[in-house]
Amino acid sequence: MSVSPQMRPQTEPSAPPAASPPVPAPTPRIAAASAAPGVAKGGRGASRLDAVMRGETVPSEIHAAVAREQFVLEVQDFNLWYGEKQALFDISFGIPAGMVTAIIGPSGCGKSTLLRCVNRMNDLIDIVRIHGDMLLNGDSIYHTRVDVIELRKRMGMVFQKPNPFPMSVFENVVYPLRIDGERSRKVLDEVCERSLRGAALWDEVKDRLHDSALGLSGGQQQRLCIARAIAGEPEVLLLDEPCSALDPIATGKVEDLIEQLRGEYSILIVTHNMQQASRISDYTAFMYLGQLLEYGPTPDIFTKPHLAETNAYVTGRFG
Amino acid sequence: MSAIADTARLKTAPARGWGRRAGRRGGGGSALVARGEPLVWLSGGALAVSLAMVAGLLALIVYRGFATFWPDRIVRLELRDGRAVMGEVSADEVHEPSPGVETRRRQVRTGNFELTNTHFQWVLDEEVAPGGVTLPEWALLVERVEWGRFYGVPQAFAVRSARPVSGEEEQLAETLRFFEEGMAKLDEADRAALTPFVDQELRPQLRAVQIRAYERLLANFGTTPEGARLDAVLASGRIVPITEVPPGEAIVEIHEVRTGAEAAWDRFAELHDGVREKAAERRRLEKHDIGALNRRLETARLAVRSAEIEIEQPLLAPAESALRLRREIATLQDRRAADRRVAESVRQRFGGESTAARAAARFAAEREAGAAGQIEKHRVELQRVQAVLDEASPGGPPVVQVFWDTAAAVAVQTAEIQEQIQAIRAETARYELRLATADGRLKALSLADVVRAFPANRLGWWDRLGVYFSRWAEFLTGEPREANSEGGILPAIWGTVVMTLIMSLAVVPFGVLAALYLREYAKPGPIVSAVRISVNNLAGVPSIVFGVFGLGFFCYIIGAYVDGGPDNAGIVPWPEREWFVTLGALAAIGAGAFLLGLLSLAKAGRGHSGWQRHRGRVSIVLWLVATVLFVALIAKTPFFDGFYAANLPNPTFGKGGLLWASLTLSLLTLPVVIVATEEAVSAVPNSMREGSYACGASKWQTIRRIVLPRALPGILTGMILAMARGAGEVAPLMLVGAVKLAPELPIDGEFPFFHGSRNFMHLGFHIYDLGFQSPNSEAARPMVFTTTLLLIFIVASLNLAAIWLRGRLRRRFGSAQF
Repeated sequence: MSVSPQMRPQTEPSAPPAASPPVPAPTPRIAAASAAPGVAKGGRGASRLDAVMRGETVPSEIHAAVAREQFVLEVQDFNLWYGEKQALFDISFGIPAGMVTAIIGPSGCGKSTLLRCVNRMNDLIDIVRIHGDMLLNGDSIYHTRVDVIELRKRMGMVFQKPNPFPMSVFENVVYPLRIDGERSRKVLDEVCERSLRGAALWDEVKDRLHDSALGLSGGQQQRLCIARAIAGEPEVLLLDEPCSALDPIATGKVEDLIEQLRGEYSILIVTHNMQQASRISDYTAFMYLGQLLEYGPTPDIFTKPHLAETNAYVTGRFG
Repeated sequence: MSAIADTARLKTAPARGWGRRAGRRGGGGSALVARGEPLVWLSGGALAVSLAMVAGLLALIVYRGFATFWPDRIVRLELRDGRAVMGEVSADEVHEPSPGVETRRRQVRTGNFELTNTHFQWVLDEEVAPGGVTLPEWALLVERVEWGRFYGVPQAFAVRSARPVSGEEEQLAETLRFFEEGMAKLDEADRAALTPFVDQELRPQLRAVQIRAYERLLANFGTTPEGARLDAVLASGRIVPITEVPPGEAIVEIHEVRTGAEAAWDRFAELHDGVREKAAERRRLEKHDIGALNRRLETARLAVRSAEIEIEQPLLAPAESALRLRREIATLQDRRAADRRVAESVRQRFGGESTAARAAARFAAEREAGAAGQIEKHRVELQRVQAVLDEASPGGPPVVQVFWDTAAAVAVQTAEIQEQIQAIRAETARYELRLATADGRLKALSLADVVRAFPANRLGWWDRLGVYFSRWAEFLTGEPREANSEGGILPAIWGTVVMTLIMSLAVVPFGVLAALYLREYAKPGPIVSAVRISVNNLAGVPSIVFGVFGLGFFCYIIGAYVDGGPDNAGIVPWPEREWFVTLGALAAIGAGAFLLGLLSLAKAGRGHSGWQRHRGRVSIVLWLVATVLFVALIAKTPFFDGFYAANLPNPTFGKGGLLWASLTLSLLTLPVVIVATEEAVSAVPNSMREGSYACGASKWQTIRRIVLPRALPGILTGMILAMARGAGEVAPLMLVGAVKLAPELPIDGEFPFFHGSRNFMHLGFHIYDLGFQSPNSEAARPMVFTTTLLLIFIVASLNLAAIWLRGRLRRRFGSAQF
């Protein structure tokens, strides 16, 4: 496989190794945060972050509310190495069906890596090794017998930068069907319209379905990518910072779209933007240096997190 | 531009501190760097120089190329020594015969090669008599099929009418010949007895018949046409006016002559087109129809040869001798019949008991006895040959019969066509233009030999333009003549275009697949880097090396193999048993490689165990072994004797030809395509590939649907570069099939329409041939520029076509990102 460097997730490889000796600047601020009043179970905060930085695996704080949900995707003791560097540590959690789940955390914490592990995009990188498993509706993702191509067809993925293909809008949307060899014009037309309506793009492009997709604006392109992702009726929709390359208005449209898709699709979204996470997600996972620190209903994470570190992060005191 | 504006602003800026600081920092030099932007001028100057050089070259080629066909004035120079020179001035320059002495000299294209043995002549100004430079009004420039140009002043135009030969005259002439031949063998006494008969009876009778015929001819002419004069050509070769023919003299021809330059030119202009059309018809018959008959005969002959190879018994040689013997017998029988006829006619004319009749009967009997012996000898030989053929199959194999039938039919048809050709020849030879050269010699030119003639000094601008375009039309659509220095170059244009297109067809798929593997499939590492460096270096190998390779590999190995199987290519085939054993091994190894390959592909992503990783490598090694075995099996097969064995030892594909030349050039241009494709493929953003994979596309689907369409304009750029390089290449072609004159086009209307084994003409090679190999290099030099112009035009058009295609593709993907 010849994959040039930019194919790798951009944040993870630069993540500090698990046992990096010098302690980064945030430490004092975290210490301050842990001392802040009104923080539940704040006493162990400093030692927890220190432990993470030393490379020790700390147990994830998973709220009880999560356990009541039905999971579409379950991550089980998942570890990942880039060569010798470990990037994910023993991650275990479940993604509730029909809900929006956000993963937040500072740069380099492994959010995108984790997301790309779900549809095994990391297979494309030779030096990646993994341990552990994920289950998609009960089916293993990492079992040896799994056909990756078939697996990816069960999920849709949207990337940071809009990446429409160099073809018409129509062909972009029906691409997943084309590669399955679907030729019936009727089916293709139907799927195209349904997906574009689903992505709230139909009214804007219905008159230029056969023009090049590269002529659309950035926000339209990103919604087109979402339309393409949902054209194959995915079981789970993976959004990797879908709004980071968009202006505020386009961001708003995409967020509205995610609102609309809630319930119909199970969505896993990685975001840098905590306001966005709090606005659109039902559940939020907070990751730090490759470990899942806390996971719970979004209101709880943002207003009364169990961990002082989470509180410090969501209130902007570190990260 | 903006840089200049900036400079201006900086120069006028009064900023004191600026200047002081700059001065302190770096002195005057760095101030200049800071303010004057010398690099702008340097780089701009370099660009200007390059552009000027290219533009100068193009301008020279365009000017000289377009000027070649413009008709010049014809100058007549009277020299002090009494000679005169007439022709077009092709060069006019200052000459320094000795240091400090300068004079002007002119190069005059004088033509008339068969009279003067030179095409050009230098004339110094001192040699010219005072007032000796004139533009003769009626000086004619004649372009001819052979011998190059002719410059002369028309004197007369003659239409020749030969006296018709009656049956009686023919019979008498035959009898006379018969007696003359017979008498040579007689002894003195017998000859003396017969001489009076021949001289006093036979000859006068013949002459009387001839004069009667001439009188009839003269009566047919009636009155002399207006403005013309009738001349008679006597049997002695003397030409006299018709009124002065001595009585009793036999006349061979009557010439209707119009004298005077204008009358002659008018008559020429009136008749020339018709005669040229007939001459063209004759050439078509000679080339096309006779050629087709020859091919038919050759096909039948090759069928016999194939059968001979198959049954491993001589067939062709006996079949051909039988054919020859039968023809000889038929000829002898014809002659015998003719002798009898003559003897009979003598008996009737001079009475059965006359000396002549007895002598004739005796001659006939003698000749018949000789012929009978000959015929008998041929019959015996024929029986022997027939016995050889009967051995192969009773009554001779059917192919031999077909061959004989074809030969008979072809002989009949050839005779018919030859008769037509003779008739046309006789008709076109009747018209001749008589010209006086500068030194006063007379020369008669047959109209059929004149391609184009015009009185250059009488032409107005529009007439000259007409001549100009007529020359261009001939150049673009005609075939070459006069060692390529005259005529057209259609075969070369055709050869260049066809070769370039086949080369592109061959090189693009290979190059694109190779580049795709290098970029998309191969793991980056030392091996891939080495391959890439080697490919790049391949582009720097001198092209003649590719020519040598093409000759040694394509022509002498692959071509020879195609012609006559492994033996012919110098490969010793394996015995059958070994061959089958190897075939079995190949099947086993191939199956193993396939299975291992499947296994190594089946596992994905996770847990590369050592053995799994090795499976892939072992599979590749097995594939390589299988490929080598496959090639060896084909090369060393004992079952293949070639497709053109019947033609051997004449090679069909085992020599240079269009196909091998195209393949050689595609090897030469392969690096260009590979490098361009690699660039194009690697320029496709990875986000697109990821997007495709995320939709569940496989690697090949991603390449086919995303990478290739996106890279297509870049790939086409590679193709354009390859075409430009390949179309202009000459050195390798000299080894693998380009020739200075190809009798047949590589693509024509004859089955199978594309003839890859044929030699072809090529514009680049044509330029070389004109410039350095031409016997008349002075005359060929202007054609070098014209041909170069055309080559540049063709390469540019091919490229423009590809660029247009690329533009369309870009629009289809509707983005300015490419």
